[in-house]
Amino acid sequence: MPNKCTVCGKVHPDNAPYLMKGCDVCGNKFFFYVREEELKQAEKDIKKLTKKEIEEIENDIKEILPEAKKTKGSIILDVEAIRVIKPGKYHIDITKLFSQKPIVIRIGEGRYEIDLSTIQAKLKTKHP
Amino acid sequence: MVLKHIRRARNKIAFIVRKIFKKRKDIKIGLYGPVNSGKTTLANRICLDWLGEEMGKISVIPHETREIQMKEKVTIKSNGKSLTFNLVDTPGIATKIDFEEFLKYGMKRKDAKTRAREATKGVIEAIKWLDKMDMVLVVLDSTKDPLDQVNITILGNLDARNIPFIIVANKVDLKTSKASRVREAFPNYEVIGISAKTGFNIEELYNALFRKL
Repeated sequence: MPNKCTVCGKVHPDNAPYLMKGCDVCGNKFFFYVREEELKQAEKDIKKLTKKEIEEIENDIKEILPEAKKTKGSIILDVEAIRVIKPGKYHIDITKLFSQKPIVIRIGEGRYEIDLSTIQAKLKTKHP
Repeated sequence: MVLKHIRRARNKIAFIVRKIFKKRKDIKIGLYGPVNSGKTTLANRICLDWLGEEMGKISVIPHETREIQMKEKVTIKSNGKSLTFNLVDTPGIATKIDFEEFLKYGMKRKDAKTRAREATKGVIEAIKWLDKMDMVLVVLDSTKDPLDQVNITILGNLDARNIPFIIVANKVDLKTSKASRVREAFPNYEVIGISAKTGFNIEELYNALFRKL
């Protein structure tokens, strides 16, 4: 699935090296995780959040999920348990949180994902 | 369907193993429930009754408790028996957290956003801690409709994980309280009506803890 940079908006193809190095345009390491069929809609939706709001939300996510702060790799964002409508406005799907699946956060009307199990697995590999 | 049964069986085995290997002194009783149902007030009541000191700060502003708080070695006594446990107060579970709600209480915008962020983190932490609990007191506000998504999700998960629990219908001192409505909503579970604020019927809750543990 393609991934879109949350800062400059560049859409990258799946499995590209930028996932570890950061966006080749702006160096940002937060990406939308976009399904092909939803790509056009996501492009429209993300425009509803300002750059400042996106930065604010990204910082909030780092506070909410400290594991995300520790990782040096990229964080792929998609839709699931928590939706951040705007900075300071959260919709929580508690059923999904209770289901013990990896915690996934959605920002605004775009689609963002934080997969904790992946991040923790990476950290364990790097710091056994 | 088959997977659901396997998961339930696995949870039941895990619970039994936990019970066998866990020392009695490590018993954890968690206070869970929606926001502003009186979890911290109940934690304070229990701690005041048995330790002579309060556990946490309470507030009319929602999401005052945003971190897990634990009071260790709380010993309660009844009919010559004693029970020691660690009391865990958890942040209120919510499906929506909006900083604008806090602005109504005169909070500054920046502080309100921080509170919303911390409250969201608190919900995640509370749910993560659920499997550590040996027993849960589900604290509900008896002045409100008990058939709420948050309440039902908490109870459903406790049931599925075989974690013993008691439903505490709190705030029975208020005129609009209807503890009977809570009992009618959850007829298969033990419901005890109390007032954590005044201490009304708290003895019944302590007796129930002895029966359950």
